[in-house]
Amino acid sequence: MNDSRTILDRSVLGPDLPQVPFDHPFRVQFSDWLREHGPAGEEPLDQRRRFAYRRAWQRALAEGGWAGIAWPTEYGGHGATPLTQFMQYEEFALAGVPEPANTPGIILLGPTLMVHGSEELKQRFLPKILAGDEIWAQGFSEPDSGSDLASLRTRATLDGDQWRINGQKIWTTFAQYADFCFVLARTDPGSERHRGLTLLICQTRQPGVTVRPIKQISGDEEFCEVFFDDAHAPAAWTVGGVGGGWQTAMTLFQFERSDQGYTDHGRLLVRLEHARRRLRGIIEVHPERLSAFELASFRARFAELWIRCQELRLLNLRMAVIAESGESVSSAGSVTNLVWGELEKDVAQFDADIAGGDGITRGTAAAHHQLASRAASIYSGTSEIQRNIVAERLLGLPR
Amino acid sequence: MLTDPIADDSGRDIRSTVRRFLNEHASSAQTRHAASMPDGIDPALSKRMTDLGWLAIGVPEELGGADFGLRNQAIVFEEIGRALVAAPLLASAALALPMLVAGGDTELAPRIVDGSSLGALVSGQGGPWAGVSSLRATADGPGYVLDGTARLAVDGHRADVLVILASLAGRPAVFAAESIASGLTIDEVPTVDATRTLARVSFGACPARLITDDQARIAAGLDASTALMSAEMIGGAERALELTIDYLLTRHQFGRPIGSLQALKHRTADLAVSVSLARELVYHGADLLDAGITDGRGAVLTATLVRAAEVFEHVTGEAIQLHGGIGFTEEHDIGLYYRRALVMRGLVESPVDGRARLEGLLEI
Repeated sequence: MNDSRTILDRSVLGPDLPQVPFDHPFRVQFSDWLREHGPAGEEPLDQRRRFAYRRAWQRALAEGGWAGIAWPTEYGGHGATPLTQFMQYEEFALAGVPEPANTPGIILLGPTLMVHGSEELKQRFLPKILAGDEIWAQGFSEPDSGSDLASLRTRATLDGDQWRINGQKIWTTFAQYADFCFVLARTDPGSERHRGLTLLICQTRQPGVTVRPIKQISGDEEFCEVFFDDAHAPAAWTVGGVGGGWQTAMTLFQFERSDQGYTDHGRLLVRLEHARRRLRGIIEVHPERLSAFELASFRARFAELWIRCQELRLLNLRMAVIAESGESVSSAGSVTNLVWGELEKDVAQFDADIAGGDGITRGTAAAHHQLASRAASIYSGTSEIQRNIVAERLLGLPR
Repeated sequence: MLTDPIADDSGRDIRSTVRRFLNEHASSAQTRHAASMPDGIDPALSKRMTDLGWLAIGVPEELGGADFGLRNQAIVFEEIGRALVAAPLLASAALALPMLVAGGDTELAPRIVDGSSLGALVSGQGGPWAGVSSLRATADGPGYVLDGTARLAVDGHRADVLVILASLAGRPAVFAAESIASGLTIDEVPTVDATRTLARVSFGACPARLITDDQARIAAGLDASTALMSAEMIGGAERALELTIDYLLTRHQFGRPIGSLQALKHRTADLAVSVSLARELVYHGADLLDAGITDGRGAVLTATLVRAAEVFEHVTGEAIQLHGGIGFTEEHDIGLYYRRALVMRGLVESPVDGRARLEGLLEI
């Protein structure tokens, strides 16, 4: 690994925050570790190499004791509080290191297992999730059940001590690399909507499971279709009880909505800082390349995006403060999700515009980010679904 | 709104106490009545709030204050903004006083805090943030004299103490003058907002006392004013949105409340998000001032001012649309909020100027 990774000054994040100060011992210690142990070089754009890079990075993090710090100590974490997680994400961003390969396992599936899984399941799966030894995917959405998840049709029937699963999932992130998949299936054949669903753990490498990656507009294949034809899953690997699938899934969504935010304002502010430097470079070296109008427009867009990043930072801090006090972030996570999803797209577009021709050239980071960013306001609940949640659950408008 | 930056017990106590008081003494009927009076304000209301000590919260003890932090002072101004109080509280306690506090002025600050004087902030073209004020100060014996004309001084005609931002040898400096000083002409300028009046102030060799020419102190004073003024604006935006949500719940068309229509729901959700984010900025700015954090503070406070002004105007404009026909009638309160928003947006500096200033601070 690298012996001196460049780390941006914390002022890139905005002003110091009294709740998570820049001189906090956690920040200083973790940042020192990152400087010494952070992965070498830039993350590859090619997806297979990128996944390998992130997997190696997760192993390094786990060996250093810095993976899944929010997990309880009994499962290999530090029991770190949300404010400490907030600091860790900011330090990750300043060091320019990616998230570890098995992020869905660390922030969603592992924590859901901790809440709803049996002790046996926790012992069997949690350590390997953390170490990156086993990769996990989340099988929820189906071709005809996206925003309306409760209409899902994948079914599982009990056959002795095994579930037999039949149906299809889609938009399953990194299923092609996954060893295990959470499958939300209808286990009560006569049931409708939210009732009669069960969450199962299914091994993906078995004859009854076929994974077909979906090529995206960015060229990545981050999402997959997963087909189940009499796939087997042990009955003992049921999470949250038979018929308890909807509630278990809701637990997972809460983790998803609340955590998404902590991660991303720092990364966006760092991306903006790189765009700023690039723009300053053009102004200083090739001012003739920019018309007065373009320059004024770039400056105005930068300032607006900086304000929005600061707003997201404060929103994330608010969520962390709420979680720190032991309360649930609940539907307020939808606000974070909405603000982040729209901002992610706009920062990526700004970045690509500043990059000029590079922004539309295949194989460049700017072009890749812009294309990939379109997913941000769609997955984990579209912006429109988040607006419904905000309007109905937080503002009390009728359904 | 969607998140609450006021999470501590004392902050919530202040909020509920002030809100209860204003519900009783500054209802929209009372505000409309005060605005229709010749003087256009309710002097008794300012006096009661001053007597209760609510304008001294953010002021240090040595200047006659309670030293309870700008965050808590911002809570009071958010409530004042919600109620659209027709009284010179903003001018005196949010605009003039912070400059005197930042300058450490032991003579005038306590007079404003205890209500024996009313203050107003006067600045030249481009507002208090313009790098060089169009008002000029020149040394005159042991003191100074001021020259130039300032528009848009909130409640300038009501004040007995003027706090003036002027250029002294090309750098900003803060001065004070009594409103009865020689060489001073003050004319009321009515605005589209019946609850807020402005003044044009002309100086012709007007004698004035230097409060401070320390740039860090001036910046701190302006940042404090920004936080309080933004709190007032966001309070207005928040209340306008609440009135709108009430209307969406009660107005029925097509046999159902119009708030169940997704087109209106989504717009309302976006408005609520914008108000909530701007509120977070306001209290963040106040926290930075209370914690004495200076790095990056100017950029955040500038962003706060820009956002508060834009969000207030946008939310109240949308609120009229969401109310339909009743929204643009004189009798409905929502129009009061919109007109207040227009005046605030045009008052201190245009959001475009604020954005230009922010670009400079961010070194883009």
